[in-house]
Amino acid sequence: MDLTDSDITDPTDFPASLPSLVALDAALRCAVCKDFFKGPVLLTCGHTFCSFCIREALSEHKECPSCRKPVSDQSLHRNTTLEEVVLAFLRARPEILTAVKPPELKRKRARSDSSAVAGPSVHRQDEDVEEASDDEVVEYSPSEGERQRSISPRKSKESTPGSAAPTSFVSCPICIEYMPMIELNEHLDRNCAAPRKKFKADEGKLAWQSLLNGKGKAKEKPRLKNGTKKRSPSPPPTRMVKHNYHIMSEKDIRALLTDASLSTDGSKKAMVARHSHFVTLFNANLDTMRPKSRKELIKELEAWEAGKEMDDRQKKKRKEKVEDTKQYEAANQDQFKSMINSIKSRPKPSSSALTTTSAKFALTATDETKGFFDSSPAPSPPKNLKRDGENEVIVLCDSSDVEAL
Amino acid sequence: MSAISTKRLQKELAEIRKGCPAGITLLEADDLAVWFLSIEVLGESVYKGEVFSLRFKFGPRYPIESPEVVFVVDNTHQAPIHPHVYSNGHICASILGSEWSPVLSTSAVCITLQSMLASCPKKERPTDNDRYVRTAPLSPKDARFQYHDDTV
Repeated sequence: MDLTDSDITDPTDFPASLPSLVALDAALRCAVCKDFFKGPVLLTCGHTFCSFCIREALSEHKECPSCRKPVSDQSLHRNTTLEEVVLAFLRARPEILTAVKPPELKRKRARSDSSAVAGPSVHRQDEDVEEASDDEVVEYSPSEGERQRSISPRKSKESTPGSAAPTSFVSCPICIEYMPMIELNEHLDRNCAAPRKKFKADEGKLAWQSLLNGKGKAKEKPRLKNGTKKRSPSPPPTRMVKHNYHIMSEKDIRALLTDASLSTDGSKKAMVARHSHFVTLFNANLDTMRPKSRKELIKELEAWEAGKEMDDRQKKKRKEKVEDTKQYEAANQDQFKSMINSIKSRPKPSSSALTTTSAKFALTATDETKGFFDSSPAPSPPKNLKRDGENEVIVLCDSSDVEAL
Repeated sequence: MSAISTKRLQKELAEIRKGCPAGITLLEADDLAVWFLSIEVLGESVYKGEVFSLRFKFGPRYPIESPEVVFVVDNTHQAPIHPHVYSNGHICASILGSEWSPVLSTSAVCITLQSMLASCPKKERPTDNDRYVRTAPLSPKDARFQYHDDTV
């Protein structure tokens, strides 16, 4: 498993000799996901995070992750300007990277790029200034023609598209979205907009109305038609709300899911998790400049759920408990014996009091472990191996201070 | 592993591999679930010359949820003798429990623990060490610590 994927961008992609660029890159990233802001939202304390990240974080603690000031998810505001800044920087990033690359790499890059699919040729006026100011780093100045080619906005670490099959997935150089390479050009022509899908605005609107107003939907509709003037064709969709799930019955939750046209499979817990995650996805999606379609969101939700199921299953496996201790003991007798022997055969300490006690511990541990074994062979200090109330342990670092609390 | 935790851990790993803060080294990171790092207190301290090993376990909800962090205790490693570190390696530190924030990271945790060790004036175990170690859950995340002493 390659742990450091090539498409992972990082502030340290910039050479350490240019700390201002490293800092600029770092400043445009969300502190939670360490990726560039996606649908940034402003908190009342002034900090900004990706909409999705902060919504996830708030589901755990209702405070700003950076300064711990209390925040509610109703008080989040879209930070459109910052999103534009990030998009502009993402467009400029590959250019800057190319400009500051050492000459060796750059020449290689330029060559491989000539066979590549041309990205959008965004030429920035200030590029010359950029290069000029970094004189000691960039000694190599490409000729005009070479530069034209070298300004293919791609991250330095990515594989060259020349070697990629047309069906392979690539990351858009502008919006870092993933897509098959054959779709990339079309996507860029659309200015990174999502492909136009037949999205029935009315259908969605109705669904939300029924969700929010309950039975009032039938009354609401004619009034809108006759009374109010014609609205813009697609009014901004309303945000979804998280409900107080644990006071709801399974039936209510199922109704919620049906209203949002989500699957109603699984236990109550699974349904609650599904609805609340979808609400987060949905609301976070509204904070982005190019919101995804409902279909895509549902796909994301399904992927999340599949991943979660796998994690849960793994967790269960790890927590497997020994049911029949007698049988377990018999099956692992050899291992137990060798562990007991290894402890018994340890050199006996001679003098200091401290070591004698630890030897005593070792003996106690051996006695105790005759019936049941802990996974750790380390015998000292003695462990009471029957753990009762495993999750209910209250621990005080210093019991003398308890009264002060 | 959700997409967000995978991506974030990959970034952190890349960053750690490019250079750790002083006194901290990556020992092992075979996957994105368990990492081992070693920490050492630099400068004058009661732990001068001692090197400790930390085990980080990341759940699928990282960084929204805190990682499980313990000092490795085995034949070659010992937990530091510190009023907030139990002899089984469990650490009583608020940032690993209720005070965890998703903006913290692996290296931030290491630095915090490093300074926790550095500011310790006297080597001693927590007063309830024996009681805790006897009944401690496998993961310190399942224990309910009460944080009250912020002097060390």
